[in-house]
Amino acid sequence: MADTETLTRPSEATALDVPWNVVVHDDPVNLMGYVTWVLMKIFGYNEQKAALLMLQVHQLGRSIVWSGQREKAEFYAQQLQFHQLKTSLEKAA
Amino acid sequence: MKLAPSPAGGLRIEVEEADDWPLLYGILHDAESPGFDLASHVGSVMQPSADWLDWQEYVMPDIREGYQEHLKVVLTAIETAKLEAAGGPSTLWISRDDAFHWYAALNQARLAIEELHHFGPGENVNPLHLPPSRRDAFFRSQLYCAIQSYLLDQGLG
Repeated sequence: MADTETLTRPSEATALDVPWNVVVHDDPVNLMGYVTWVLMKIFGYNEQKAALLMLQVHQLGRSIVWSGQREKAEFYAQQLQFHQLKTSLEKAA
Repeated sequence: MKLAPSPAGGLRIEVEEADDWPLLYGILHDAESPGFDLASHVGSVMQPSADWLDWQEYVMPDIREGYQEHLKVVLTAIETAKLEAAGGPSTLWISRDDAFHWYAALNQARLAIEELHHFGPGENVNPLHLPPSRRDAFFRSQLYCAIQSYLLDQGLG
């Protein structure tokens, strides 16, 4: 009986991280100019982009203001809540 | 009480009579209304999960500390100005560096009033139809909103 030899085939699986969404929710107390200012300050968005996201929050009740790596999303959510904006995190669909 | 921009940026509040001081202290009183927790309010939309429990335990204390810092800055400014004026007329200066602290303290006060009274958009409220305590709260909220608008116009630093 011949000696058997076990061959191993290395395999590599790469799972892509699902991005996380940072969502700002409408709060009737917050002034629109303030929400715009906060989005510019935290994310470095220009005024046009920040104002567009603010309008989504105001008119649709919520807006995804940033998507990406989880740790960074958590950092941004913390910053937004520190600035008193209602904020949640969700896995991107 | 009068509000006006200050020459160096920021805002000045002209305290014209002794009765204006309680109005300013009202910011802090409203912001710390019993039963209102701002950190829970802004986090109320987070999904209930193990992560949310961690968030409550590790992140929210820092956020609360930040909110308290705003209130401390405002309290110190009011007390200093009142002491220097011996409780009479005075000018309270809000520098550009402190503008965000003031804005945030005023926001905290307005959020607390809204949580307790549910006025919604101010233009839909007729104060003549409100009982006195709610009417006072409504007018305070409107005053805070006016100061916030001035601060925004002058830049939050």
